[in-house]
Amino acid sequence: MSAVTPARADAPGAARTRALRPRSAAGALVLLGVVMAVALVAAVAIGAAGLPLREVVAALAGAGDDTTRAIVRDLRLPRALLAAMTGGALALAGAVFQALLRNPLAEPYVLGVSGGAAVGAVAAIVLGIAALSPWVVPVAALAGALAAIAIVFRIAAAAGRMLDTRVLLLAGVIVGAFFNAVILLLLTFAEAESFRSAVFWMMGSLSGASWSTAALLAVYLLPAGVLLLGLARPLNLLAVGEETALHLGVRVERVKLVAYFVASLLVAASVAACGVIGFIGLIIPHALRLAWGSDHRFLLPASLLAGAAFLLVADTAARTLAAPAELPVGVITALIGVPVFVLLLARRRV
Amino acid sequence: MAATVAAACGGDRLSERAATPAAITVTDDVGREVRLAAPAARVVSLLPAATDAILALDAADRLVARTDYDTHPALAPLPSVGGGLTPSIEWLAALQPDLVISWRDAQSRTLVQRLDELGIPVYAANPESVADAERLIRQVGRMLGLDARADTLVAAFRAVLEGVRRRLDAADADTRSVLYLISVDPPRAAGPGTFVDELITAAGGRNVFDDARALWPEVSLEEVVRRQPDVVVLGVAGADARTLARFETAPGWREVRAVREGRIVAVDTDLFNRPGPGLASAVVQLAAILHPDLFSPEPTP
Repeated sequence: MSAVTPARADAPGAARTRALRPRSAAGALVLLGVVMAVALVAAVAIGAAGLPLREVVAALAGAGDDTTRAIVRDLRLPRALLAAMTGGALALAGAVFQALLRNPLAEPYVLGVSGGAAVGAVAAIVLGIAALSPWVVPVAALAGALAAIAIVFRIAAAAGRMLDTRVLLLAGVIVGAFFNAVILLLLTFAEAESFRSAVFWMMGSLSGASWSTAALLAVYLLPAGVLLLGLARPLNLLAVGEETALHLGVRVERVKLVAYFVASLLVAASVAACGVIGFIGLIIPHALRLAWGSDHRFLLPASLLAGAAFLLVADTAARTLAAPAELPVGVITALIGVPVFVLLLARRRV
Repeated sequence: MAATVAAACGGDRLSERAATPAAITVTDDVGREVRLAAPAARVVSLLPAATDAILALDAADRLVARTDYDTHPALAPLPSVGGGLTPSIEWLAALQPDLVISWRDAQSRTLVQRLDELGIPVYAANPESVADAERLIRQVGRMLGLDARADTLVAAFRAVLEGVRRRLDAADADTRSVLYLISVDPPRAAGPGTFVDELITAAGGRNVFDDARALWPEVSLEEVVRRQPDVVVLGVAGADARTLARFETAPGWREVRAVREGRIVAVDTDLFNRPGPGLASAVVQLAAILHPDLFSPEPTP
């Protein structure tokens, strides 16, 4: 377990962190960047319409017939970008939550963000207001996610010291359980049609991708990503222990507040854009730690790249495996992610 | 038919259509205006009820795709989009349809918006009642430029209903109470406001759950036993003799007199569960089930 949890001073993981030479970390980042770029190209090149590569390239350059141009530039490209950003955002948030909560099971949805978003979205669908505009569900999901964040932090604050890790985790779990009950209650009264829509939403899908959703997520991701990547060093120290970090000059409370808040907002935005997509935020950071160690100066950008590549591949599979029908991408992320992770775990030599 | 489809391919393109003024404008079930420059010639229908309407309008050659639920032999050569609930938008766009008929729900709402942005007209429908079914037939007829045929179809449907009603009135037939199930486990029945509820009334019956609060309420077995319907109708896909036999031994269900005495039937869901032109045959079949002495039973296909 020790190599899975972020490095401790006395654990073998720490030795490996020290052994992680900048050059190998940089090499790994370059490798992940290349993989991400290849996945991005593949996501644009491959699709249910089965366009020849030549036509895809022509369409990107602005040539070719209207339909092909529309498919490549208005459907595939924004969807690929949204997939890359969502995957990156979830993996980055997962790595941050794992460091903050010092818990290997932490993931982006651990503080109830997904539950709150789902209550918002499902309520909008079941109450019938979702049919009014395509923006109702994302807005309701975002509102639900923000409400969940507010409730969880309020509970944690009420229980004593602000941002106590254990209290936060507990608050996240109980608020998540409560939201779950609300969702089930809403679904009990749902008509068959809205029931179906709600379940599809909860499985997560990128089929709603457009230039406007991609742009909206980019607006969140750019500042949030920069802020979180900038917290790599304090997160390294926090992962060792809050006391230690405090002694080493980290303004613990402020770092935690910023990191929790920014990561939660990022997750809320991604859930609003494409529903709840599981496993990426849990597995990607762990897989990277297993492969290259747990220095957050490496882990955070690597999570961003690897998460992006992973969701691009998963969504390309979701779009094409059962074409012309689409599979829920959350199913694919779990189906690919879990075996790969088990393989990594089995190969681990400590 | 392949030749007709190929001939239709040469027609309009996305950009041309945007420029030409709309010749046909209809309002769909979410209140959007659907504008077509010309009668739709390349249609994708994700709604089996709408597909049935197009078949009944004798316009199968306008369809360029089908769903897995559209099993009519005339549609067999067409590519299937699958279940029709989560279609690939780019696959639909590649077919270059000039009309897509889609569901109205939230999931489909994004589909409608994406296709809208691509300049492909989408009609979102959500037929729940017999009036909705008639409206769907008329609207589809208008979009295909087959208004007169659609009017004839609706008139014929009303004539069938009228014929059944007159025969019931003439014989002063008793009203039979009916439990119509669309799912067995958990039991889910047709509620008030649904086309099935209207179907039951038209066929000389009364829906035992006409007081339910939902359109398709989940009902408790206890309540079914208490209400003792005269007839149980299974509108459940894939229900057969074995399903019926299981009812007779199932705890709870065997307390229902209709089940014990064999007044439980499975009906063709392609006909009964689609608020489209098939409802005419469905009414006649249901009338024969409820009043076998008045109506000669038609064999289910």
